[in-house]
Amino acid sequence: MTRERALRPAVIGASAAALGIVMAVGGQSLLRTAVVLWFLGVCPGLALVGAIRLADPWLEAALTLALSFAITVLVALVTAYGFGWSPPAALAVVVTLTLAGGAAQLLLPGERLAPRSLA
Amino acid sequence: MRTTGRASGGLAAAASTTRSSGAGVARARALLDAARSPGGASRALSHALEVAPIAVAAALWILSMLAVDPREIGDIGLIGALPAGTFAAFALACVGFAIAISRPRLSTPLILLHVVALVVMLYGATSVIDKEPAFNVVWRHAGVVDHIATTGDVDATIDAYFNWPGFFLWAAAVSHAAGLDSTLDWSGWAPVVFELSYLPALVVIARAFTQDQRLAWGGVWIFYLTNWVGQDYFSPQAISYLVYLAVIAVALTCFARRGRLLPERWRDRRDRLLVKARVRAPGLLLDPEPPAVHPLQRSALLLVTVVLVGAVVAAHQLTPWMIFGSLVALVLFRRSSATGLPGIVFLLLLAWLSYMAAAYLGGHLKPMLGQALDLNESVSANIGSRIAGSEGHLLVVKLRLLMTAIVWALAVAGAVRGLRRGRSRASFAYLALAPAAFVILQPYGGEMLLRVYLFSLPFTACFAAQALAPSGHAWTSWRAGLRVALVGMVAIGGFLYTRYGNESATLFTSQEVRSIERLYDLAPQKSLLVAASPNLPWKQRHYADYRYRLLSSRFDPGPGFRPAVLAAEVAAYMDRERHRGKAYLVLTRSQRNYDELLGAQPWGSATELQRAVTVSPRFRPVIVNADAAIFELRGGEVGAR
Repeated sequence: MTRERALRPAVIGASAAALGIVMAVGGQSLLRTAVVLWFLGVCPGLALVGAIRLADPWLEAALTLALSFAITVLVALVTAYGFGWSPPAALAVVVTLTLAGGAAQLLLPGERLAPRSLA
Repeated sequence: MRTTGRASGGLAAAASTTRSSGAGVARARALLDAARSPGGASRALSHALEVAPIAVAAALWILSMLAVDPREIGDIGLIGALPAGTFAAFALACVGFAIAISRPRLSTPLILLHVVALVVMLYGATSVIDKEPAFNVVWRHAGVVDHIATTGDVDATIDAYFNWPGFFLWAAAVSHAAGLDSTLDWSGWAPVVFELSYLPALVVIARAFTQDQRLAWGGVWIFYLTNWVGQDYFSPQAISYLVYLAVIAVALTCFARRGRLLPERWRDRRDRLLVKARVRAPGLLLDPEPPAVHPLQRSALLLVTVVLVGAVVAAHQLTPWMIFGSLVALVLFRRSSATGLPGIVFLLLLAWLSYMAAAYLGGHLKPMLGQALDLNESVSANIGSRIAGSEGHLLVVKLRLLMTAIVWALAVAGAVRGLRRGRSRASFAYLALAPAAFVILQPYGGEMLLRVYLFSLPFTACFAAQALAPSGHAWTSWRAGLRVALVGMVAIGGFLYTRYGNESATLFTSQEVRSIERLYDLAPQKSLLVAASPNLPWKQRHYADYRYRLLSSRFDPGPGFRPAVLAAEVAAYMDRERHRGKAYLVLTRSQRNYDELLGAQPWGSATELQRAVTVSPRFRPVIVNADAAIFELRGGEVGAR
C-alpha cells in the first residue's frame, strides 16, 4: 500500500478519534469547536472524494469542502423530516459514513485516473 | 537559482526604476535578485525577503485593526475610521503579490500565501474590530438555528427560512457537536472562512480558463479584490456559493466539451466578420482541450454533483437556480457533455418546491410571478431604490455601481483581447452572462443585481485579469510588477469603500446587545416586539416565541398622517397588532444610524420616533441607555404570560 493511499484514511481516522475525545471531554472550548468544524467541514467529503482518485488536488479540495457540507445537510434533513431532529443521531450517521468511506479507500485501486493537470 | 547575469539585469532594471515614480516593486525585486546571485546571501535569505512584505503587511494590519474605534465609523463606512497603517499594510500586500507573481519561476506556495493573507486582511476587518457579530441577518440566522436546536421543529409556516432549512440544520448539528449555545459563538470569522473555502474551486476555474499559471492566479486575485457584495456572512447563500463554485469547477473540467454550435458555413462567415472587425486574428479560435476523464470517474462525479445540488436545493432559494441556469447555458451552447444534468437539477428543484417549500410558495407564488419579467420593477428595486441616503452613502453606492461597471468593462476588454490572440473562452462568457437572465425574471427583493454580479464574478474576474495581464513573457518585467501592484492598490481602495460602506449601521455595540437580552428577560412570551427598521441585534433566540414587527415594512399611517401625532399613530398600530398582550417598542443606536445612512421612512426616523414616544403618555421607558431605548406600550393588555 502506498503512503498516498493510506494518507486520507489515516487523516479521517485521526480526525474521528479527535472528535470522539473532545466530545467525551465535553464543555466549551476553542479546540472542540475547531475539531468539530474540521471534521464536519472536511472529513465526509475527503472520505468520498478520495475514492474518485482525482489527479487534480485543487479540484479534490473544492469537492471535499462542498461535499462535506452536502453530506451533513442531507443526513440532517433525513433525520429532521424522517425521524425527528436528533443532532447525536445525525452526527453518528455522518461519522459512520465518513469512516466507511475512509475504509473503502483502502480497498480501491490506487492509481490516479485522470491527468494531473486539468488546465 | 537565477544566474548572475539575470541578477545584474534585475539590478539594472531596479536602478532605472528607482528614478521612476513606481520604484518600490523594482527595488524589492532588485534586492531579491542580489540575494539570489552566487555572491549574495543564501537562498533562505531570498525566501525570507520574498515573504517579508506580506509578513510585515499582516502584522501592520492586525495592529491597525485593533486600533480602530467603531464609534468613529461614519457614513462612508469603515474606510473613514482606518488608521494610516492599514493602507500601508494593503500597499505592502500588493507589492508582495506583485513580487511573487513576477518571479521568474512561479512558486505556488508563495502565491498561495499572499492570496490567503490578502483574503484574511480584506474580509477579516470587521471580525477583528467587532466585539459583537455584525449584521442583523447573522443574528436572525442564529435565532433560526437556536429554534431548531431547542425545539427540534422545522415548521415551514414560521417563515421562508424554515422552507429551506438545510443550512440551519447543518449549523445546528455543528453547534451541538461543539457544545455551543449559539452560532454567534463561532460565526464571527465566517466571511474569512467562507472566502478561503472558495479558493480551491476558484483555482480550478481559473486554470480551466488559461494554462498560464500567472494569469490564473491573477484571475483569483481579482476575484478577491472585487468581491465587495458581502454575501459571505454566516448565511445559507455563503455556503451555497461554495457548492455553486464546486459544481461549475467540475462542469468546466471533467464535463467540458469543445462543441460547435453553428454549422461550418456560418462559422466561417462569423470568423471572417470578426477578422474584418479586427476583433480576432485569422486562424482557428481555440478552447483548451478538455481533459480525458475515466468513465468511472465521470459517473462518480455526476453522482457527486447530484448530491451537491440536492443539498443546496434544500439550503437556499436562489443558488440552485443559478446552478441550473449555468448548466443549461453550457449544455445549450454545447460546452458540457453532461447533457442530462440540468434536467436532474430541475427535477430536484421542482420536487423541493412542490413538497417541502409548498407552505412558502402558497403565499408568495402570485406576487413572485407578478414581478417576473417586469423590467421596470427590477431596475427600480435593484438600482433606483438603492441610490438614496446620506451624502457619504450616496458616494458609496455610486462607487459600487462604478466598480461593477469597471469589472464588466474589463471583462469585455479581456474577452476581446483573448479573441485577438486566438484564445476563445466561450464557456466563460456563457457562464458570466447566464446569471444576468435572472435580473429580468425576479428582482429578489432588490438584491438580484448584487447576486448576478457575484455569480458572474469568477468568470468576469478571469477575463478582467486577461485584460490587465502583460503579454507573453513580460510577466517578469518590473513594469508588469508595478502594474500588478498598482491595480491591487486601486482595487483595494475601491473595495474598502464598497464592501465596508454600511459599517456604521451594521456594527452593534455590547450595550445594544445587552439591552435586547434584558428585553427578552422582562417581556412575557408572545408579546409584540416592534422596531423601526430591521437593523438591530435581535431574534438570536426566542425566534418564534414573540411576535416581531418592523415599522419600516408594516406601518403605514396613511395620507392624513401628521408627524406631530407619530407616537399616537405608532401606539394605535401596536394596539392593533398586540392581540391584548404586552407590546414593546425597541429603538437602538444601529437603527438611528440606519436611517441616517439610508434615509428615513415616509413617517419619520427612529430618532424622531424616540423623541416622540419619550414624551408620550402611551409609552413607558423600561430600558434606556446611550445605545438603546425600549418602551412598553401602556394599557390594553390582559396579562399574556
